[in-house]
Amino acid sequence: MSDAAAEIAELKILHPNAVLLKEGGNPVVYLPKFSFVANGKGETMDLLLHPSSHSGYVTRLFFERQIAGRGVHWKQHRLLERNWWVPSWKDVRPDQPWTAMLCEHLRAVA
Amino acid sequence: MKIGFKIAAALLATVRIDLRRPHPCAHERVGFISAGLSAVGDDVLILARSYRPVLDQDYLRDPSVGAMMGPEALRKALQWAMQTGAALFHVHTHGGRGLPDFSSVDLRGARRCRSKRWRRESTAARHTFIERFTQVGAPIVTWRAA
Amino acid sequence: MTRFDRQSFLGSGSEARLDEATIGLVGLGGGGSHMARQFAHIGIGGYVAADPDAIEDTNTNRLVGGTLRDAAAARAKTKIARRMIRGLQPHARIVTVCDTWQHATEQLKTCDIIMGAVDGFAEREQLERFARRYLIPYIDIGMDVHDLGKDGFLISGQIIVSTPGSLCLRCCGLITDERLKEEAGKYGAAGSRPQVVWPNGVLASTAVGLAVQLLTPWHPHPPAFTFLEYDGNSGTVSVSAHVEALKGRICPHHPPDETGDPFFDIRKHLEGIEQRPASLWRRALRAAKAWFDGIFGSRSTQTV
Repeated sequence: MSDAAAEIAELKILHPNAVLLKEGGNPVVYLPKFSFVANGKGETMDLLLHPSSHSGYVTRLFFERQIAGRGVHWKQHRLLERNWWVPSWKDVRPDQPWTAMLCEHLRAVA
Repeated sequence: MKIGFKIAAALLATVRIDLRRPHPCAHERVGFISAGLSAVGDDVLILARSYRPVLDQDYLRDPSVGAMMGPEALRKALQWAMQTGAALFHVHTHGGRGLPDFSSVDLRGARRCRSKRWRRESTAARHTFIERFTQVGAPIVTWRAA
Repeated sequence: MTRFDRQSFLGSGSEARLDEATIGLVGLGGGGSHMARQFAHIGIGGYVAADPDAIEDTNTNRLVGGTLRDAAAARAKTKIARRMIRGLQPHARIVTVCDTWQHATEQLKTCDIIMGAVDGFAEREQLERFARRYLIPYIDIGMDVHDLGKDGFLISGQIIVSTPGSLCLRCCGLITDERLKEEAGKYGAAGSRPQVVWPNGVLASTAVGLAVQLLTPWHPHPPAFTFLEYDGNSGTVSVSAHVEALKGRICPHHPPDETGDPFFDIRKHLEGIEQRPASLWRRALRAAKAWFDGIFGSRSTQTV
């Protein structure tokens, strides 16, 4: 298990407003108004990185809303008292830096 | 705005047992309950998480009141709140039966708190009664304000 | 005399207690419809009922309260539940949400108990977590029909009571990472799982009884946690061996410091209320209070 404090410090370099929270005792990273490219255009929305197993996946990245034309089998989940959308995107390993994990998850909607 | 307070039965029992423990110099025991909060429309729901008693050595000797917390007790409580992001509720009991109310000592103490650093941090400088208090367990027990 | 005279063994204040209670019903299919009806029979006064679906012809073998006409009209399951509850509790406080329960959370927060009759382990896990955040006891039911090959079929099911501070669905092994992974691999296509009315009835009835025990116990030791297993072939409901094996354990899956809304800010909440334009009568009240305070001085305590 990676050191959450060190990982969030690295993520904050990428996104200063990143916040480390927890759900079910597991660390979860809230990334408010994160900007990324999806389907060839810029998007800005809240993201939630879950760097451990959730709903049958080894790690997950949750989105504030679905991205049209990208990602498959979108499902809605409730975490941290908000509703989130997540596409099916498997096997993003938990044993890597969270910054790399985030980038790998974003490939699902790139 | 109405306030609801919910606490697991086991935690409430822990609080009650602790508040009844005799203290070497104070007449009453005091502690803090940490809680998460949530909005329910305009109302607020307080959801208790855990309890910490004020340590014996953090009381001040003051025979004019049932219990007087020292500055170390408040510092520890503030630190707990800041580290966890939890709401904190100062708790003690006057014993007795019927509808609870604030004593004159409680009101004086609260005014003193509000007059200093709290006012900088809070827009909510007022007394509020809990409209509904629920002990969650087997069974669920609810008390409502009269 | 009232229609509840036969349940007076629940205690002298039970009728009022049941009327004051609000039950969340998540899923109004075979199991949830049964529970809705039974709660109405015993006099529960408040309901938050969520289900996104409409009744179909293949539901009519088990959806209590649903008729063939409802199926022909593709009537929402929430409407059927409302009609059924009103028929027994004309003054009930009923909130229906014809959507997934994730869109009914504002209403579900106010429930005394949440009953889950949902498909899928991921749904159960989320629902239970939501209930724990709001310190709401959660009672889960589910049934399955297993193909045993040459030995026929086995009807099975479970009823689990998950109370804040007690063991949970993960503790007793109903939800596991393996099951979630297998479910995720199906991408939500549950398929036409076998479902029949009588096991749903057994499970729902047992769950309703456990809920009533949490509200108006008729004996001194209602369980805060229990895991009951239904064997539809032998016709038995029995306490799972997990219960004894887990005695004394503390649930690690729902830390007590995860109650409430982590994004809630009391300052913004109060500002939002205070900045709202006051209604006419509230402005008049404030003006009267200001006049009174000006003459007699302000009181030390305000009740908000």
